[in-house]
Amino acid sequence: MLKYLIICVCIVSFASEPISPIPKTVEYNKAKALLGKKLFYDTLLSKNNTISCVTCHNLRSGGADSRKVSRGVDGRLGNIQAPTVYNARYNFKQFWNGRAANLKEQAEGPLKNPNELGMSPQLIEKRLNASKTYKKLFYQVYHSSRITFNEAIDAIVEFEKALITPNAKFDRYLRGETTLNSDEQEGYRLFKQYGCITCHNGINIGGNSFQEMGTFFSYHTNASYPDRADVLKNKKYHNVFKVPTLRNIALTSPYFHDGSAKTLLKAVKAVSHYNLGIEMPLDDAQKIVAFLKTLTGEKPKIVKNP
Amino acid sequence: MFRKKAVTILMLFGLFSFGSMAYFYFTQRSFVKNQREFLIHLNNLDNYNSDLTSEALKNSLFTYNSFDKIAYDYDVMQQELKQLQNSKILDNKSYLNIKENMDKVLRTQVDNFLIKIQNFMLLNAAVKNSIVFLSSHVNGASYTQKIEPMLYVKAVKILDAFQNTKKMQDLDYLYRMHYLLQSNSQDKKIKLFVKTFNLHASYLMKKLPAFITTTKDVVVNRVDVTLHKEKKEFNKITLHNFVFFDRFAFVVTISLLLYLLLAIYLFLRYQKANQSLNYSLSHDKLTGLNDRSSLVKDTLALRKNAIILLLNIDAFKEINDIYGNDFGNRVLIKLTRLLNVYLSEISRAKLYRVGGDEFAVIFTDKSVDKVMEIGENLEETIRSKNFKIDNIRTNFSVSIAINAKIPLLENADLALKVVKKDINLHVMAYKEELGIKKEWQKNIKVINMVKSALKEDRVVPYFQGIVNLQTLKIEKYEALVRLILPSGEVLSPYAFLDITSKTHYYYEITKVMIRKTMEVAKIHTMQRFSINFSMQDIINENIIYTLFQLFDADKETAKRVDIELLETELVAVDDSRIGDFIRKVHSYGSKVLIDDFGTGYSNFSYLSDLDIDTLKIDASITKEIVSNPRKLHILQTIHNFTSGMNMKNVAEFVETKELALLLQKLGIEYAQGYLFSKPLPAPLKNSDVSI
Repeated sequence: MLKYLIICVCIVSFASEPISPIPKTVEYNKAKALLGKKLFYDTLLSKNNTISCVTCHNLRSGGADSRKVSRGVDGRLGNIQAPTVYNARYNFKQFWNGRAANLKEQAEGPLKNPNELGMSPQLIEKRLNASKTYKKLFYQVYHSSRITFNEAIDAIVEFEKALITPNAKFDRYLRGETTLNSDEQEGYRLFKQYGCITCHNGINIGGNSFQEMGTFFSYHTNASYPDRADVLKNKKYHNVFKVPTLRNIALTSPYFHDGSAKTLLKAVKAVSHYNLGIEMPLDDAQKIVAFLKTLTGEKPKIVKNP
Repeated sequence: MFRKKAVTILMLFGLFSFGSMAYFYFTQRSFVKNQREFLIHLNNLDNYNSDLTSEALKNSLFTYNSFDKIAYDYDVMQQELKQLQNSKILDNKSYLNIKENMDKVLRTQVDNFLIKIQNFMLLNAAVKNSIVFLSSHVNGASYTQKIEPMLYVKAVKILDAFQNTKKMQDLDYLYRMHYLLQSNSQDKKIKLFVKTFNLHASYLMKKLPAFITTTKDVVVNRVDVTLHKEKKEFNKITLHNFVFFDRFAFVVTISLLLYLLLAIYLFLRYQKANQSLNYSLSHDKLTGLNDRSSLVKDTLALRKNAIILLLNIDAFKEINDIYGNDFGNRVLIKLTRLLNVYLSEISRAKLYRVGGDEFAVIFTDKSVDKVMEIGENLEETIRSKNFKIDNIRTNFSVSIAINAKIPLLENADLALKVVKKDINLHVMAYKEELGIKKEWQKNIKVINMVKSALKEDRVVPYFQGIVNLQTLKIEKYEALVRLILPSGEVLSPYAFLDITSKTHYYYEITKVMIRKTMEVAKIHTMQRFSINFSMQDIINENIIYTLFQLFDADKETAKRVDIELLETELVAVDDSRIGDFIRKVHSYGSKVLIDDFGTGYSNFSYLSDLDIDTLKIDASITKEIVSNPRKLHILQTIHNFTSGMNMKNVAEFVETKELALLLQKLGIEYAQGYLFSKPLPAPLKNSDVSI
């Protein structure tokens, strides 16, 4: 009878595969994306010409910042750990607290933020229009003689849309192209059975819902990171954040919105403490980490080829 | 005037109609487009709402389920709401209520619904997480069965209750349930198992009621109800708005219809007017037949295989002169009737009236021989018929020409002229051999020759002396016209004057003759000079004017310039004009001569009426008096008669000494001829002659 019950639970649980692979290729406007790439790397977009998008979204690594908090112009500190730009197109809303509905709204954020790039649309337009190279490039793409802020954003967004990391080992496993080793296989099973999958699911293995950090033990109650409570103006949503994607997670240390976990193992142990109320056995945690490492995909062509 | 006004009204009407139609088209189009867009967004919103609801249900049912779809639906629902609120059609005042409802009611509901979805996702993940964890937790704790079997059974039971509660969405499964495990075991593992189990069980007990409430809230949302209500209201208003378009379309249609009717009416009127104009332009008024212009048009269209029969009434002018034009017209009508009846039995024959007394028939399926036969038959029919008009029986004949060669009408005309000239000929077909055309071409050549001669001053008088048979001195010169060709050849009037007489160049020649003779006469003061005048000259006011103007200019010379008139022509003009002319000539001291007397009717009566000075006896008499006593007698009689009337005689064509001596003996005053002098470019220096 007990076995029957457990089988019953399992049948209900496995109704559908909760993770889907990233498509091998996506469609985007190549000319626009290349222009966007140039902008993404260009320090011209920061107030004092010192930093660019790529400063905090290191595309050679996981598309995120290896520092706890990013440093903007004049060494000003950000208020949250920079999330990865890789696969951002598959995220439901942008930023940790989802205050941007889409990539376009997101891209405008850091540009205007005085602690980040510290620019204004007018200044960006002025600088771009002063450059002969950009005038030529923009004319080729947008066929207009004057570069506008919106065109610049549009180009950056198009570049970001190209930033996908396909063919992760796990994706290939899902497609039946390879097999996982026993630790990884076991790790995936534990990932599901510990309930991680209830939040980390979908194409980005996260990034598609807002959830609370610290359901069993309160997480840094006094800290004031911009969370859902900020967006919805409701304290009920304190410490509610967008579930971060686990794709390329091995490359995006440090972890959590506050960058408090330096290694994956620490992150797994921390999240099982706060959100499961348990001290996860080291063996299980290590297996889960093994699974997580299979989520590292290939860099997109547009980044690989300079 | 009426037409101009009508066309203006028509244009205005058209402009209005098409303007309204264009307005209707564009307004209606944008309205329909906006209306459709609104409904599309409304339906989309409805669909995503249902999708989101069902996706939420799916998520509550399946433990392992991706949030991707729910996140996507969440996003597009927000977008659709925005687009719905911004629908252009809502700017229309009639949708004010709906716009308000969209902005207030629907937006609030959607916002609330999406907040609920977020809450649902929070709770859903929390509940599922704990249930999944507990399942694994219990499943992985089979070792407890050995130590505390009841504890394990209890744990499974509690888990079952949680599962059922979540599955059935019913809290009753937890009713009076002791959901916490209790164990006094000192076993570390069991202690941890119990602690962790109770932690999650308490958590589930806390979250499950909210989860079930939120799930129900999500499923039973009011968004679809509002959407359906607004849709119904929208359709009602739209239907009402379409009534306006219906009416507008009706007005536009009626206006277009009126425009078309007016246009058709005007067109028909115009066509009718045009038809009657065309008819009068192409038909003869008197006989109702097609006229010359339509004949020309028809022959151009037909060209091949057409044969023309040209019919001309002989001496129609006389009929008009005798009975009057009215009678003449009735003759024409009678003849038309006869021709119509006659031709009605012949296929493919069309009758035209091409001139006052000329008719034409075009045959398109007959041979020339057949038409010839018809023509001969027709001519005989008309000749033998008595036309009875106002109890007067009259008959007349016609001349007929037939032609099959292009140009149809011209060739037929030429042939008809030949027929007219020959009294014995009534019907003839045109043939190239007739050479009529050549003569015609020759005429043009002659006229051109005269034209250039006049221009280049090559028309000159030659002078032939007239000798006094008593004194044997040249007393007078007759000026005779000559045309000198560029080659130097001298042409006598027989070569050109007759043809030229049909043109105005004839008068030019006369004027040259008067002028130049006057000039010569002015130098040769010892002789008189005479110029030949035809009746055509006398009745031409311009010539008369010129003559007397020159006479006035040099009255001395005018005294010695005489006018010769042709005897044959004198009868053709009424006497008073000739009498007036002669009197005027006499007033200058000039004399009047009659030329060629004895060739015409030689009527003596006019000699008594007209003041003639000299009579020139024609060569036909003079030449033969030597051998023919009868002619001699005539000459003598003329001489006696004219002498008695104080007239002198000139004998023409004197070429032999014998004749000259005889004339001298008979007492004829003057003689003219090659014996004495040929016509010369200038008078002789020596005016003495000998016989």
